[in-house]
Amino acid sequence: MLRFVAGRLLQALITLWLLSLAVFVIARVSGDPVIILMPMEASSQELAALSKELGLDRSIAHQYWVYLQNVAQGDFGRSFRYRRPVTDVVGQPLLNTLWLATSAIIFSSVVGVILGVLAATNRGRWPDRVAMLVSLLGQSLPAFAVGIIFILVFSVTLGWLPTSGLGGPAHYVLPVITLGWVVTASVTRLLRSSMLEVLDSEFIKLARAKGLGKRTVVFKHALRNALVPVVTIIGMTYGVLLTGAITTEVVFTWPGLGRLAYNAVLSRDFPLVQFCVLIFAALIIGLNFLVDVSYALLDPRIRA
Amino acid sequence: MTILDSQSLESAAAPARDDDVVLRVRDLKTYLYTKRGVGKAVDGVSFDLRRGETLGLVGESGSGKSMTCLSVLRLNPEPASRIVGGQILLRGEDLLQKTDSEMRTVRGRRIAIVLQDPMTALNPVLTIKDQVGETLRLHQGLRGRTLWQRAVELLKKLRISDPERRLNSYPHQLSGGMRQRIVSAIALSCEPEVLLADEPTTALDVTVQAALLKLLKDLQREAGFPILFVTHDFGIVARMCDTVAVMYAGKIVEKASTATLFRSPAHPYTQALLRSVPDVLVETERLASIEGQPPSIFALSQGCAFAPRCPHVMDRCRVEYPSEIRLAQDQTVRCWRHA
Repeated sequence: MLRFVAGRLLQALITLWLLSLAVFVIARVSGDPVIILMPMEASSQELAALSKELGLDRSIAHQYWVYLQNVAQGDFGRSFRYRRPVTDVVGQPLLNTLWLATSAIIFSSVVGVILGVLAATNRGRWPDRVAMLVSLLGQSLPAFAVGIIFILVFSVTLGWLPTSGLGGPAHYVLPVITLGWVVTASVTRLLRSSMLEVLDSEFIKLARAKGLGKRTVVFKHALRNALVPVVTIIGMTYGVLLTGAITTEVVFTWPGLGRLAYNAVLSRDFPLVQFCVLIFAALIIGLNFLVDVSYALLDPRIRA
Repeated sequence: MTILDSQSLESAAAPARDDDVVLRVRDLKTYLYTKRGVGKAVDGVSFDLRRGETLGLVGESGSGKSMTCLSVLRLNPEPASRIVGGQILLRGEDLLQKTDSEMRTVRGRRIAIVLQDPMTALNPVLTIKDQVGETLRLHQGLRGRTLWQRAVELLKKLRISDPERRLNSYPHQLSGGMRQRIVSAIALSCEPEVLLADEPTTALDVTVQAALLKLLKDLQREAGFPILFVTHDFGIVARMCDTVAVMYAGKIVEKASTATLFRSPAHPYTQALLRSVPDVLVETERLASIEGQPPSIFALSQGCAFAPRCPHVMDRCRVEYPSEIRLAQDQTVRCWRHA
């Protein structure tokens, strides 16, 4: 297990390094940030001075070398736009996104598993139909539409929930459902089909022949087997939610990482873009690792 | 040779040893309900299982033997199939009258089953201890240390070496033969009154198969439980069974003691089946086979289901299903040739 972890860690570092190189180069090819940062009427001397100050006058190779040295000392650079260390700038938005994405993934895992189990154990009857309808809607309605409809119905018309921004638990309800619905849909569908397959297997027949109750058969014997493919989807989607919740963040003006990264790209804030990408990558690598570990926990055959 | 209706037949054969009957199945009907229509998977099956007896249930795949087995536990796949009639009497109690929760106290405790494929009969994500312990915990209320000891004992009884280590293993760490012993250990854990064996050795190789059969036989001799042994292998029938029931298209077409069946099979289907068993002492160019296909249980005619393939078919066979005809004390057949 230790060797497994160490190996994965090394892999992760190499991935991150390659990625940092790619982003570093691509960002600099995209254009000169100095033009955006300075007022329109700035002279070429002023532009050159800022360029020198930000270190953008040197070759890309040199800039990257300096960047790597700084990173090695834990310094990821200062945001051009906010004039603060990027680690500071990213901190709060990262937390906001983490909260939103985590709430959404927990919500959709719980609801998806419940719906999936209900659908599979009541195949063809009304709970199955309801679950499939919920899942069909979740997969076909885009987040921006759902978000706006929710705001219209629950915030504007009924006045039950806040329209946007951060705050208490009530602020989470609509964004979490908007963000989580599509995930709920895929979890439900996947769990239903994998559950149906497992319920049809010989060991379930034997479990029933032992005289076990329906609940034990479903939860102890079937669910754990059926969860293996679902865990992959949950893990992968969690990564997508963390890095790609931009639509939802925009609709609900949620001050998260997605919006920050989006704006950083627009303003050619290289250090911030680089750091955001590194964080996204680290999150996804970390999640994949957790998914692999959870496989091993769920299925002893993978442990061996 | 006289035609008897099934009622008088029972009274003729059974009364002296009636106390010995552990499981009595009468006119069991399990139908399949599909888009293609209604399929009579099990169509009026009757048999008695006496203490210490092994009854072989033989037939081609699709003849309804496994469905009969599952129906006894009321574990036939639902809602695709339903038991629509008959009686399953376990020491006189009709299992078809029981509620679901009453049924759960029968399964695994009073009637246990060994399934066909040991590779898939055990849950891959649970340890052997979990799976063997489940019935002991549920039906005998064992916990902790006593549960562990009883599980070790059980595995020893099934001649599984190094039981402590096996109990902590997962199914994928064990061989097929070992897994089937574990499945048998689970079945026998609560000293069942009846053991159902649904082709328990089909998936095993021959030497492992022989060892398991001997083991089951020994354990049966010790504990006296009757076995309903579903198989399509006459070699196993000869070795294991006291009586044999031959199934064709959901019905038992011939029932006899094993010796009688091998010596003088009465139903043309049984005869054909026995002919298709290759004889090592006789050199043959081609294996004997039965002409035609088994009938679809969704489109059975009024008459004998075997008629289209039967070499001795008569007009009557096509229009009227033969009633049960007693040929000897230990042999009955459903065939108009013997009427």
